[in-house]
Amino acid sequence: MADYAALQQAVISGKVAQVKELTQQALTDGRKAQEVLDQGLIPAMDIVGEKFSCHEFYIPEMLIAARAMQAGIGLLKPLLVQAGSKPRGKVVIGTVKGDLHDIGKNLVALMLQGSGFEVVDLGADVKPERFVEAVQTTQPHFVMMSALLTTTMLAMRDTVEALKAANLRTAVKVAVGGAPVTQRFCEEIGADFYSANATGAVTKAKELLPA
Amino acid sequence: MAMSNRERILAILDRKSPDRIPWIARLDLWYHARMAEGNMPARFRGMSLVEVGRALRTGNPARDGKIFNVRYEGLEVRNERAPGVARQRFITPHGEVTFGRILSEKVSGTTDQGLPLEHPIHSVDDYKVLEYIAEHTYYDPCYDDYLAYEAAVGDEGYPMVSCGDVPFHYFLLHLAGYNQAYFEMVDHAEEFEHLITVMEQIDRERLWPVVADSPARLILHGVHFDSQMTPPHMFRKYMTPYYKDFSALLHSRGKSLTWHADDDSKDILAEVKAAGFDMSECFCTAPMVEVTLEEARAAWGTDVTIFGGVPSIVLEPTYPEAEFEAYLRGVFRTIAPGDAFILGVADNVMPTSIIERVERISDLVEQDGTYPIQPD
Repeated sequence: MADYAALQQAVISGKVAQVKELTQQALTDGRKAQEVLDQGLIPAMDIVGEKFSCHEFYIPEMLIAARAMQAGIGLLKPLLVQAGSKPRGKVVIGTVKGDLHDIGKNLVALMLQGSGFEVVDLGADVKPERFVEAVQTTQPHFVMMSALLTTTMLAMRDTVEALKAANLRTAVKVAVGGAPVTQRFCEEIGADFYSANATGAVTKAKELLPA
Repeated sequence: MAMSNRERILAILDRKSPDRIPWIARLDLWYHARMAEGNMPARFRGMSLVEVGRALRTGNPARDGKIFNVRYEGLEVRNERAPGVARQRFITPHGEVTFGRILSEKVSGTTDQGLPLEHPIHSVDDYKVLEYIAEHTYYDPCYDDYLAYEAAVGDEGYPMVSCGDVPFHYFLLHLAGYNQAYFEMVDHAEEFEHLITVMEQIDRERLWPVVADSPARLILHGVHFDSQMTPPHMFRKYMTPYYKDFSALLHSRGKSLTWHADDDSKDILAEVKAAGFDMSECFCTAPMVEVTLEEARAAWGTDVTIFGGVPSIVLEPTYPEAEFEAYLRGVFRTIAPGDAFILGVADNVMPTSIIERVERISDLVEQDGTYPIQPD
């Protein structure tokens, strides 16, 4: 029988080898990949998110847990695709033009993946037209943008305008985050939601796109 | 007679009250962006950075002094520059590593500031190379240069001398990069622990005495500590022992220790105080990060001088004028009567800042910043 408690604990502790082993064991025991994801990996990242929210975990622990979770997902992904499983939602994410800071963006991407979202990560220094192109080609539910500098956060507005100009604005929900970004700025540029941290972004995405 | 900025800062370092709160803004990024883009406002054209600061009635940040030159023995250092990118290659008998920085398009060509682009740790073999570099690094005093700089700054400020970073945070920021560093701490725990131990020993034996013997009084050591990236348990394990000893040494020589606090420090306020820091400079506050001025004051009292309090975001066009005024009033209310406080921007007046707001702060400081500040 699959030991999902042990698998969850291995993810929470960031033990990559153990996560791989327990994930493989569950599959060998005949568990479906979707079940391993839903009952093993996703609940583990939910716990990690809770620990982060109450300051028991910080970004280092989040990153280490997310890496372990990715190790499990790596084993499940081919099977999920084969079984025709659909992700919870799709997100195009990137740090905006002129900004090379990617830690926050990476963390949001990892947490989204840990919650069952498919993530199209455009990286850092992403021009508005690249966001537009990604929306056109991948048809995501969300566009999430990050900026760490007061000088670069203005590129979020440019990206929203570019989506409008391409008649794509209503096709996606736009989220913004990063140190200088505020709820007011989010409203001012016409984005849909703001989050101060990775767990908040994932929670909001789940609310807007229930499983 | 009014004190000079130098006298105000020295009074604060002496735990005495200045005649009014000092107001010192870093204008480097704004100035260099204006110069690079050729859109310096007419009234500042032809002025140097210091002259613009003078015209805006802010003190001189005086951050360009140095008390040592770094020298390497037994290895070769090659500096390579391409448009927008600077690389430094260290070639040692154990192999070579490269540090790369990408230069912001706003400042490229005008300053050396930049963001780490390439970190030297790519495999476990690189630890040996970095250990070799640490062991072959020397700090040659250049105290006369410092004294000349201090004299040049004159009454407009007091030099804050940058002297490095705690090995643990240097590892996070420069050697591995934040993301990879945490994985390295798990995957190559022994090598990581050994490397930072060697680096710390070298600091204690070679760097600390040069700093302690120097004529500089305000020592900047450590940058960007953050609630999330250097969380409390890591701070206590890897940073507190280092800083307790370093601050004790500096205090015994009549010096003050500060760190560059431009990230969120909400969860490490207690650690900063316990480590022996005398000042947090470029101290950033909400709404740019989570920590508030009130929380810092509550945690630090006047034991840790706050140098900052104006997050650069409140100087941006996106921040409403009325709220900017209210924010500043709130700063004055919080820090009244004004002990252990230097008003500054965290961490810089940015290229997109409304420069008139810097002048408005100068007005407010001159009108309402006299010690003791009377809350509204």
